[in-house]
Amino acid sequence: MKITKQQSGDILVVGVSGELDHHSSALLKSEIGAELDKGGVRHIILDLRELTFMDSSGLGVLLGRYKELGKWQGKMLAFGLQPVVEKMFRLTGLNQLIPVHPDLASCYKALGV
Amino acid sequence: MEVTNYFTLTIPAYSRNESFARVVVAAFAAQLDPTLEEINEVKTAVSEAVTNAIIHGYGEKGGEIVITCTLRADNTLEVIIKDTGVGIEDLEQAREPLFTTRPDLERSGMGFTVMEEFMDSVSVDSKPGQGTVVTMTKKLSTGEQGGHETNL
Ligand SMILES: Nc1ncnc2c1ncn2[C@@H]1O[C@H](COP(=O)(O)OP(=O)(O)OP(=O)(O)O)[C@@H](O)[C@H]1O
Ligand SMILES: [Mg+2]
Repeated sequence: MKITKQQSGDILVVGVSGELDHHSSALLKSEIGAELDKGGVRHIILDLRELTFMDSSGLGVLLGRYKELGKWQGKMLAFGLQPVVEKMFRLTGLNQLIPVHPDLASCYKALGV
Repeated sequence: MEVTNYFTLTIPAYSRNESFARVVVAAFAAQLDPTLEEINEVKTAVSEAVTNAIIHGYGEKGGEIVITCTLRADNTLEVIIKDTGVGIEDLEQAREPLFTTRPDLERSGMGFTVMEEFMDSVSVDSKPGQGTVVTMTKKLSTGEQGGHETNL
């Protein structure tokens, strides 16, 4: 799994590529945690275009970060889901907490940028 | 139904073996030429069961996981994932959506629900103190049903 991070204003865009499972979820947790600890991040946009696999461990780590953002009413959005990842989002109801958008521009728009 | 192929694999319960287990089962299933969607569903279900063995069965302290796969003449894949860890006290409760004993580890209790959704059948046999056996089956389509691409 590879993670990229890019911040513009108070929005952090996190790109996750490869496979998100129990083994790799710890890294995603600490990478996002490090950015949140610095302060200055309000919302997170997940760029999942290159994510080819996700199981319930991925669900857990995303939910955990979603809850952290909730402490300051921050939002988490996602875009670029491959069918297999989208299926997990739908099946688990994660899409009701983390809205899925077609692209980055539409995520920014939803955040009022 | 006649068995057409099979294998058994024993791996240590290391988290780095989760992706290995998924890929091995997917490669085995791929000989039928199933759809990409079917392969992804099998991979996800295997990942759930193997991760449960590592986290819950063995409490991330190691141990062994035995994976047995069988293909039958009717294109049914059977995957058995076995651990000799702590076992499950209340099976019915464990299989309920959103039930988890480890919210502290950011688990959300969706593993069994995902397995049930992605496979045709899931049965769980477990005894406290002895371990857990998860048996899953799925009927796969074959290439004859219309040239699919496969992906590992
Ligand atoms: N192999 C196992 N050994 C012991 N207990 C298990 C095993 N598999 C599952 N369990 C128990 O069943 C519960 C439910 O499992 P399930 O996979 O549905 O959810 P989870 O693993 O807790 O969370 P998630 O899979 O969403 O990360 C677990 O919390 C655990 O208590
Ligand atoms: Mg689980």
